[in-house]
Order: sequence, then C-alpha cells, then structure tokens
Amino acid sequence: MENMEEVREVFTAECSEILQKMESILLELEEVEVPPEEKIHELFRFIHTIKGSAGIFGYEAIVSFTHIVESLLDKIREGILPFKKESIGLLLDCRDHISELIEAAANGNPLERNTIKNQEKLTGILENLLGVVPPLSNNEAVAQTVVQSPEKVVKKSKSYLWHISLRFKEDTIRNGLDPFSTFQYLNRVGEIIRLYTLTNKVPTIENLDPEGCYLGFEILYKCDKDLLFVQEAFEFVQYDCDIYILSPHRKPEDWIEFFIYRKEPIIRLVRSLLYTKSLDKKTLKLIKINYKKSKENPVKELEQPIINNHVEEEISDIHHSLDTKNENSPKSKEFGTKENKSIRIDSSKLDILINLVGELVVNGASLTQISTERKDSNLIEIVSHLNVLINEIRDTSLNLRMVQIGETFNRFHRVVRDISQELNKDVQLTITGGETELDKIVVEKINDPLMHLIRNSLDHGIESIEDRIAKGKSPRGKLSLHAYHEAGNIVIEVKDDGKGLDKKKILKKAIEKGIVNAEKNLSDAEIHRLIFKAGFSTAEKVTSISGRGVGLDVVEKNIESLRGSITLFSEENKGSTFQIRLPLTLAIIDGFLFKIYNFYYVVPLYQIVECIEYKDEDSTENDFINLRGNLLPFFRLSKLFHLPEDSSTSRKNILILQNMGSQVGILVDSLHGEFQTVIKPLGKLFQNLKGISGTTVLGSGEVALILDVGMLFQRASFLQKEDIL
Amino acid sequence: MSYTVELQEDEQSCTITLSGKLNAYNVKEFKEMIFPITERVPTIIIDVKGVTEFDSSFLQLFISLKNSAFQLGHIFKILSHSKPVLQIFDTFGLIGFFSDKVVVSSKDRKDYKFNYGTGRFPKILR
Repeated sequence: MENMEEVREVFTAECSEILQKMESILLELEEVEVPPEEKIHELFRFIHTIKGSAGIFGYEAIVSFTHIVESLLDKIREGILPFKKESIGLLLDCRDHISELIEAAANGNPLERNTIKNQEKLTGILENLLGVVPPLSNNEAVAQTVVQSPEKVVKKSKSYLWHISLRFKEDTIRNGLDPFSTFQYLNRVGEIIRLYTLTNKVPTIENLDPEGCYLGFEILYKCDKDLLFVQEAFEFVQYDCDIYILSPHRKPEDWIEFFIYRKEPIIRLVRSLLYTKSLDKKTLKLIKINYKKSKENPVKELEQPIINNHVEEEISDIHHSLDTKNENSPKSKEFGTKENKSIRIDSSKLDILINLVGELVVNGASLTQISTERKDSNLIEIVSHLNVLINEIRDTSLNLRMVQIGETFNRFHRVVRDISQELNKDVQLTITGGETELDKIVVEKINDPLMHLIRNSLDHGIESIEDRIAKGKSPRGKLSLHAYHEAGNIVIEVKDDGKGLDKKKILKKAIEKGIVNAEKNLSDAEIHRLIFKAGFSTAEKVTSISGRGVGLDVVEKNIESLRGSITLFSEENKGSTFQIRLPLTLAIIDGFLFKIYNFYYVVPLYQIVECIEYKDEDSTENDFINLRGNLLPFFRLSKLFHLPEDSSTSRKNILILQNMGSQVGILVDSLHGEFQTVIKPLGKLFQNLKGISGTTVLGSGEVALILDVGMLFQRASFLQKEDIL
Repeated sequence: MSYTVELQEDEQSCTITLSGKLNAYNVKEFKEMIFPITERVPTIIIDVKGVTEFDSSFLQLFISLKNSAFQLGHIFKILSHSKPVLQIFDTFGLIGFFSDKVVVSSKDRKDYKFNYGTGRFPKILR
C-alpha cells in the first residue's frame, strides 16, 4: 500500500522532531538545579508518543526499549526515583539509541551489532535503576499512542477503539460493491461497537437513483490490530469510498482535522459521533478549549449548519469555535494549514528551475538590448514589463531555496554539551539570529565548517574551569553563534570568551614549520591569518576533537567555495570571533555594469554606495578624492588590471563601493547601470584568479567579469602599500 | 425472476409482499414499480417475510421511502422482517430509524447483535 509508505515517512519525521525536542529539553534541564515538573511530564509524553506510534507500525524493538525508558520517566515524575544530573546523560544516550532504532526500522534494516550491544548496556543500566520493569501489556505492544495530557492516560480498555468514517461514492453499487459486505468483513476481524448510518443524503423516492449510493457511516470499531490492518480491510472499497480513520488515540486536534476534512454540517457530524460514542463530552470540551485559544481570522470554511430548534448549547459552542478557527492554525493538517501548504520536492527540480530562470534572465537582457536599439516604443514598453516579471520570477524562485539557519544552529547544542563534557569544561552556547534565511545549499555546506569552528573554540579557545578561575573569569565559558544579514550578505559569527590567539606561539610555530620567514615583520591580522594555513596547529597534544592541523585551511576553502570569506578577530585572554560572510544566493545577483577601457565589469549592486563624477582637480596625487569634506581613497582598476588608460572618454566616474564597513572608490570609464547578473563560474584555468569572482554573459553576447570586491580591497591596499614604500 | 411481488391496494394503503432475492439487479425495476404507488396512497406496508437476500441498495431504497414518507407525513411500514433483512438493519443500526415492530424468536436471537441503533432515532440525525 502506497499510503503506508507515506504514513511511515510521517512517523519517522515526527519521531525525529520529537527526539529533537527531547534533546533540547534535556539540555535545558541540565542548566537548572531542580527540574520543573512539567518538563519531566513532557519528556514522558514524548517517549510515550514514540512508543505508541511505533506500536501502530509493529516496531517491536522500539516499543520494548521505549517502554523501559518510559517506565523510568514515569517513576521520576511520580517522585519515586530522583532526577539527577546523571539521568540527563543517560536519557540523552537513550534518545540517541531510540533515534538509531527508528532509523533502522524506517529503512527496514536489521539492527547493527553495535546498536544491539548499546541496547543491552542501556537496558542494563535502566533496569538497575528501576529494579523491576512493569510488564508491557499486550494491548500496549501493538497499539498505544499519544496521551492527551500527562495526567490522563487513555484507558487501556478503550485503547483499541478506532473511529472509521466512510462516505461511499455514488458508483459503489454500480461497481458491484455492497457496503454491507465490508461491515461483515469488519465484524469478522474485529467488532463494530457502534455504527451510525447517515441517511440524510439519501434522496426522496422521486429523485432516487436506486443504483446510486448515498450512504455514509460513522463507525466505532474495536480491533487490536494495527493501522495497516484496519486500512487493508478497506482495500476493496478504497476507490469507491472516502475513508477517514482516526486512531484509538485520537486527540481533540485530530477531531478538528476530521471535521474540516469532512466539510459537513458540524452539528450533525458531532451528533453522529456522540451517537457512536466515538467522541465523548469530555473530549468535546477539550476541543472547545483548544479552539477558543485560536480565535483569529474567522474563516467560513465550514458550511453553515442546519440548526434545529433546540441544539445543545455546547455543540453550538463548538461550532462557534470551529468557525472562528484560524485557517493557519498550526495544529490542523488537511485544508489550508501550514503543514500541508508546504510540499516536499526534489531539490534537483529546483536546480533545474533556477537554471532556467538564469537563462531567462540572460535572454531577457539581450531582448532589452535589442529593443533599445530598435527604438520601437511599443517593443520597449512590452520588454520593460517583461523585465519586471522576470525579476519577480527570479526573486520568487530564488526564495524557494531559502531556509532558516536556526535548525542547523540548534544541532550544536548537543555538540557543545558533549565536547565540553569530554574536555571537562563548562560551556554555555547562546544562539541568536536563528531566523536568518539563506540558500539551502549554503546551509548544508556551512554545517561542516561551523562544526569545525565550534570544536576549535571549545578545544583551543575556552580554557579549563581551573584556568578560567585563575584568570578571574567566570568558570563557565561562553560560546555564541550569531547570524545576521548585512548588505546582501549573511554573516555568521562564532564567538568565544576564551584565551584568544597566542600570537607569539603562532609565530614561533609558523617559523618552525617554515610557513613564514623569521625576519618578516607581521601585523596582528597577518599573524591571525596564519592559522588558516594548511598543516598549522599550535596544540601541544592532538585530541580527538582538534589539533591535527587539518582544519582551518579546509574551513576556509569550503567557505571560499561558497563565494564567502572568513575573518578572525582575536584578543588575548578575551576571546576570538570567527566571522563568516556568505552571499545570500549562489546563482543570480543584481549587479551594476560599467566599462573600463573596452571591457565590461559587474559589481554586486548592494556593494555600491554611490556614483560620482570624477574631476581631475578633485583628486590628490595619491588617488584620494574629497567627498563632501571627507578624504576617500580610490584606485584605478586600469592600473590594477594593467589596462591602457582610455583617454577618449572625457567624463570619468567614480563608483564608491563598500565592503565590510569600509569604503573605497574605483575609477571607471563609463557606467551602464543596473544589470541582472547570472553568475557563471570561472573555468578551471582561471579559478585562482584574484579579484574576479565569476563571469556573466551580456545581452549582446559579450562577456563581463564580476569583480570580487573583497579581494579587490585587499589587493588594492596591498598595492598601495607597495607604492608608498 | 429472482423475486416476486404481490400487491394489495385500496384507496388509503397498499400492502406489498416481497419474496426472493432483493438486490442491485432488480432494485431499479422495483423502484419504478413502487414510486407511482407512493404517489397514489399515503400508507405503504411492505411484508418482507419471504425475502432471502437483501442488500444495501434495497436498504437504501427503503431509507428513501421512509424519508419521503416522513417528509410528507405518510406512513411506510415494514412487516415480518426475515433474517437477511433484519441482519442488515442490525448491522447498519437502522432498526430505530424504521421504528417498525420487530419480532425475533429467542432461538434466532444469537444471529443479531442489537448493540446499537435500536432505540429512538435522534431527530437531528434524520
């Protein structure tokens, strides 16, 4: 059954979400002395949910293991066992193990030997703590799921009462199927406890097509088999019937989803559910409470019900709360909710789209050029409309790839915890700016470099507790991850308050290794950059975490491959900050086109502050101009690129660029305005070319070089230095 | 023909005695026969003692007849339920919906569940 695959995927996705939450709660608990009761309840619920869902799918291994963990949490929440700091480590190990079990189950793989050993070990520890594990009841083993609230565990006798809602399609009988035989089958494998036949859709005799089918059913069904089994009972009628199955552990939210799915008058629906006893008044109240909370944007999604003269007050209440239910309420799934509004697609499809958009942009540009040459005002108008559309398509399709970096960041909580424990350090990780969005590919590729930087900071940066105390710092080290947007870039900072870089040590090591010449006088920043050299490590001992000297050079390479840069700020005994700058997207940018001599160049638009006219008398000898009273250095690209000076253009311009907070002008011959730039990477031959980050094709078919402003700044300052010396 | 119909009609009522197999193959024919009768008389009584097969399509037709009668203030009654008829009524929980007198011998009691749908049918659900 295809559906099952999907459901199973949902199961794994849900479990990993739960495990993620569990991890963050455990890490939170580590921070506090006395764990808040509701957190323990929450942990219990998480494990219970996993156990239940696993039971539905018949994953015995998961059920039996989670059962023991659940028992432990149960004892802790009842106060029989104390919640100690060590319990957190144990629970984290259990969490990891469950995650492995789920992965194995989802892929249909048998458990690996290590996993089995680990399970034996964990089970041993848990059983020791527990004394005796309460036996797993039969019902629980196969079907036990979510509990509504920690206090109210679903009664076991009720735990396998499914609710099945059926709406037969008009052709059912004509197709030779009889709903009655379906029920006979259901009664053979389980028992229909209560059934309500919806007769209201059956037309009056004059309008009745006797061979049509107008019946619908709400069924309370007792069956101790799993979801798969119950679904299979409907295999024969699945195309003739709209089937909606609610698990024995349906929650108020599930009912709401069901109500929305059915799109039927709510009172009748609720009455029929009360009639089949699938829904009790308590749950009804819960539904009411749940949805009174979210009274935003009333949506008239549901049909107005036919209200009879005397309707129970609470039902109308429910209807009211349903009616005013926000369409985007995070809980519901089916119609117009966030979860189902998002679709999963293969990222390669997105890549194709982006490529096509790139081609569209290039062709749009050549169309613009032709239309300008033709001087046909109608054509120009249409083309400019077209360009607006192309811009929007470009932005929208690029936006499709944007994801928040928060999830990547949050994974590091665990890393920091584990490593700092291993190193016997106490480190607190703070995360800010997790909502910053960037290209999915960038997010994926930034993970490893970030991991490396964090390990580096933990190992080399932050001192041991004793050292910190001796230095008069707080014993707890601080590590922060911070992300923000700045001028079309995303900046990610990894900051620690550790010992900072030891310049002397670095220099000594560098001289030892022959990376630098002993006589050379290096500035602080230059010394700092040394640690990015391949094979460089000042760590006296190699640990499992870092110190092998393979790393920061790789980090830098990875970041450069994303057209980003990494900078290091460090102050001895105060800490170090690694600052990574990345472009928002990798494919298309808004650029500014200009010409020097006979060649076209593009600079990312966001890096341009302004354009001013260049007058010879403004500039000083050393290439500075007076910009509204301030001295601004500028340099001549023609000099940098060894191009002949173009004397034909009398009017030159200066483009004022900004990079990382500083401003520099460049002298250019002519300006050509905004230009949508599809970045084509440089070929292999030119990959090491400094100052040029890529190329692009102009509408006329000519090639323009994209200037790498950051590199240009470095190079220019270097050249200027040489000149001065 | 797999089923037989006997009609007994006067100005006020019509008693229809059915026997044999009532299923999707003859439901259309039966509807065409009974519809004019519903327009002629306000009371229709159907005796199903001899019915040996009864399926959802006929059940649905009976539901329609009952609903129509209910709306017009007419009477639609089913008499002497045979086992196939009563079993489907029982499973579908519609004994209360039809609200006819049902007689079951203690010997046959085990063939039915009568767990639900035997009481008064809620007005709001009709």
